[in-house]
Amino acid sequence: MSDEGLLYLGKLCARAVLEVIETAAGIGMEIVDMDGEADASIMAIAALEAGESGVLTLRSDAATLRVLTSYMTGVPEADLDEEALYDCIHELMNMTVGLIKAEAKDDAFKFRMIAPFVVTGEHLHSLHKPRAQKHACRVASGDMFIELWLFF
Amino acid sequence: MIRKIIRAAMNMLEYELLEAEDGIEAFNILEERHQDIDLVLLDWNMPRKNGYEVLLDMKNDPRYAHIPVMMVTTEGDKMNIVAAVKAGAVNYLTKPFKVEELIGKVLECVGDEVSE
Repeated sequence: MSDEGLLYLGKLCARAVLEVIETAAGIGMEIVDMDGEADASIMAIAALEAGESGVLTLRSDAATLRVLTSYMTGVPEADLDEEALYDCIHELMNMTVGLIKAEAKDDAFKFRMIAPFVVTGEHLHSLHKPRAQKHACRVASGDMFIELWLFF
Repeated sequence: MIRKIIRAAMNMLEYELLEAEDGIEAFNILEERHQDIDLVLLDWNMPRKNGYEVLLDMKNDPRYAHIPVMMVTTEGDKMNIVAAVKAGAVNYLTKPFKVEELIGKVLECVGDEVSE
């Protein structure tokens, strides 16, 4: 993928995540500067296949997802189990890719999402080959954050 | 996740919600409770049998063909909406959606005619 293409796709992803969260949870986030990876404990990962193919990851933490899930479902934060948080980030991924597909001008970016899954742990990091193209951005509101990492 | 969101909305409307994890379970519920069902919401992406397949089967079964169906799909799959409407879905909802939008569309479909 060209650098311009990756940059365009990165911006598209960021706008999609912001719109998903605004619409589904009623929470306004904004793109913020990144100084390295945030300390993530929950990550959704999906392969994207179209004219271009790569991987999208959404990284966040339990505190952020607890708030988002509560706002999206109306269930009080204290009543949410971990499974609900995993469902939340999984659905955020699903909706984000759906919006990317709807907004992308180029058919090369009308992705089919393959095998999305969620990884949990502490201090999760994404490792990749140096030659892989990557683009990352972070959307946040206060202490809440979601990082998007694209790998092509 | 979507079922949780829909459940919250139906609780606000004080409607009874019957939930299925996949298309096969959806059909089992239809067999048992079709007389009580006023509206079916189908997510396009379901395991075992997807929402579109359930819609087609419902419309081909005289026991269920009259039950209105609303499809739920992602924004990027608008061609799915066309297919679903052609197959007999009365309404659709694209994700992400606001709860108010869901409630509005459900009320459009069932109005005040909810089973006792």
